[in-house]
Amino acid sequence: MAVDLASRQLPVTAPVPNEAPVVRVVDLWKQFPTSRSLGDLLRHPLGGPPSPAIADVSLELYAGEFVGLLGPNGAGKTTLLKILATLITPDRGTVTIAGHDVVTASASVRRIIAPVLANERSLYWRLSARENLELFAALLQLSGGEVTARVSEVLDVVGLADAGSKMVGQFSAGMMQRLLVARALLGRPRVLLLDEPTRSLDPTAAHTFRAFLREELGTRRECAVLVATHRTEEAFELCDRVVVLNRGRVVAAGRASELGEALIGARYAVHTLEPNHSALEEVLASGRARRVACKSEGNGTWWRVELEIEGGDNAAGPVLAELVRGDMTIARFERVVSPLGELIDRAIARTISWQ
Amino acid sequence: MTTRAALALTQASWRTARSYRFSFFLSFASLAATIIPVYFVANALQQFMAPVISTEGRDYFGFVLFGTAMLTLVSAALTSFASAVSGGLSSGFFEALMVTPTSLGALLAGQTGYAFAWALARAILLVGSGALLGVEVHWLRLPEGLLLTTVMVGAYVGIGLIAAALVVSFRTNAAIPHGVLVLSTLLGGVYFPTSVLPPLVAPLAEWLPLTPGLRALRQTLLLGYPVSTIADDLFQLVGLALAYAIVGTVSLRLAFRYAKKAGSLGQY
Repeated sequence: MAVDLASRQLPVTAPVPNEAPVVRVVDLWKQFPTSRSLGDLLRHPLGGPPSPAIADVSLELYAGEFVGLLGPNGAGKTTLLKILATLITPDRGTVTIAGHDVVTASASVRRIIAPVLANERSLYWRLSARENLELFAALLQLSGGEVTARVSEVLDVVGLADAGSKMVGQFSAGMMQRLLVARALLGRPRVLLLDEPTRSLDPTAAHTFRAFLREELGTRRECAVLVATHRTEEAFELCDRVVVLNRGRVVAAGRASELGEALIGARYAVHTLEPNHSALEEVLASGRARRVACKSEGNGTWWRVELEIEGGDNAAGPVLAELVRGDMTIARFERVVSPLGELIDRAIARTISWQ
Repeated sequence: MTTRAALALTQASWRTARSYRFSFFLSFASLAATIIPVYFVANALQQFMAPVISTEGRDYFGFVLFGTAMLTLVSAALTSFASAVSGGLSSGFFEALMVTPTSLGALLAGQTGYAFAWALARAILLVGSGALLGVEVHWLRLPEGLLLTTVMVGAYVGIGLIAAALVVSFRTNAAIPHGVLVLSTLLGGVYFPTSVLPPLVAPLAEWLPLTPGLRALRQTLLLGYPVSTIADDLFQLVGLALAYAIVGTVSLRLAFRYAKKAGSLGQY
């Protein structure tokens, strides 16, 4: 049974209610045919219960909005992106992109969307970045006269203007990722679908890349962007909203920070000399906070105690005040970003407990 | 727009092939290495083969040269679609192509365009070299020759599309391209006329587009016969081409529809 978490006071944000959504997914359902061995067929001729890849998923995306798709492996994130990209036909439900149905008007949809699903092997490694983009400009049916200028423009946008004539095989992983985005931007898409866009980037490059995506796609170009990701930073830094999927179903949706708070609570780290100080023990015993982790800072003197504080950020101040009043030595008290994996686990666990 | 997209893909393949300079040079060198031994062997066999090939040509070197040239084109038609599709599916490149507004037909034409262009260049070089080495070609019949070549290649494209459809659906071409190529080489009249085939396999040879195609092509370009003389072979060839093209196109469309349902377009 599907559980509507929105009705259970989980935050579901509708960011731009006055505008029509660019992407509208309604009651989407997709179940893949399963291949079964002869022995299995003989033992269970009717088969087991169906296991859908996408089950009754509904969501909307607005211009300029970034929505993150989260979930464990096999949750249905990539399937959903591929249905939007017209690469997979849904069994039932409707998906419209700027009013065009992905099944009956797939050619029109392909003029509006730009998926970055494929990896760097989908580039011609023996050609230059410019030659790769010129090829896709022709496939995207840009007029011959605008190709050169447009290719230069997108190369400039992704910071590859100086590498345009370099062979793609000599690019770093980050440069290839940027080139894939440049390729997606060629056709001036209104909707961008990104499947783990920073998977092959180091943390610094990933941060820069996310800042670029946010500025260029969200702010300047007003693209609606759907990002499937496993990275906490991606969901929290990049996305206006996140949708958590599990076994093809939406188990939670809302702003990443609010969702984290609702599911995990406000999490703070206390850097202290006394991890077992009586003031802290009192706070824990009263149930206003829960100790999540406690580890030495490395020199054996200072400790980092992670607390989940009941009542959210508003309750963090009073907890800190009580610790200070109790003479606990505190060097730092800071907000901690909830780990994405934990957020997903909690969302899934909460759904299961309601079923 | 469709033609432009197909040409852009072909150009990308050409640029890639050209970037491997040594391999590119070797391909041309191997062509010369093919012609020279064939020239000497064919001349050595001329007096034995002349009566056997008399309905399709006078010179055995020219006979074999035309057979080899057409086999080059047939090979491209049979294998290029399935290999383009399987390569594209395994690398994810096909997925990147399929999300553009370009039609499937244009994408496939573009993906195989270089293979066809290269095969055509080899065929032209073979026939051109043959002419330089003394093969008598009736150049005035070239338009009819081109028509026959186009229909013959078109028929094999149909079979190539069936193989590509199998790759899309089942990730195997069931050895169709290789099997048809071997049968065409042995039974299609490449190295000897089909009139010498044993009665048991002769009917099978008539289902291969190469059999009527090559027969008519040689009669046109090597003997200078008019279209009226080769009409029967031309009709047979057109019939086979239509049948294979229809089956191939329908199979491929169904295969892609199935792959979209099964979600297997991006997996190998």
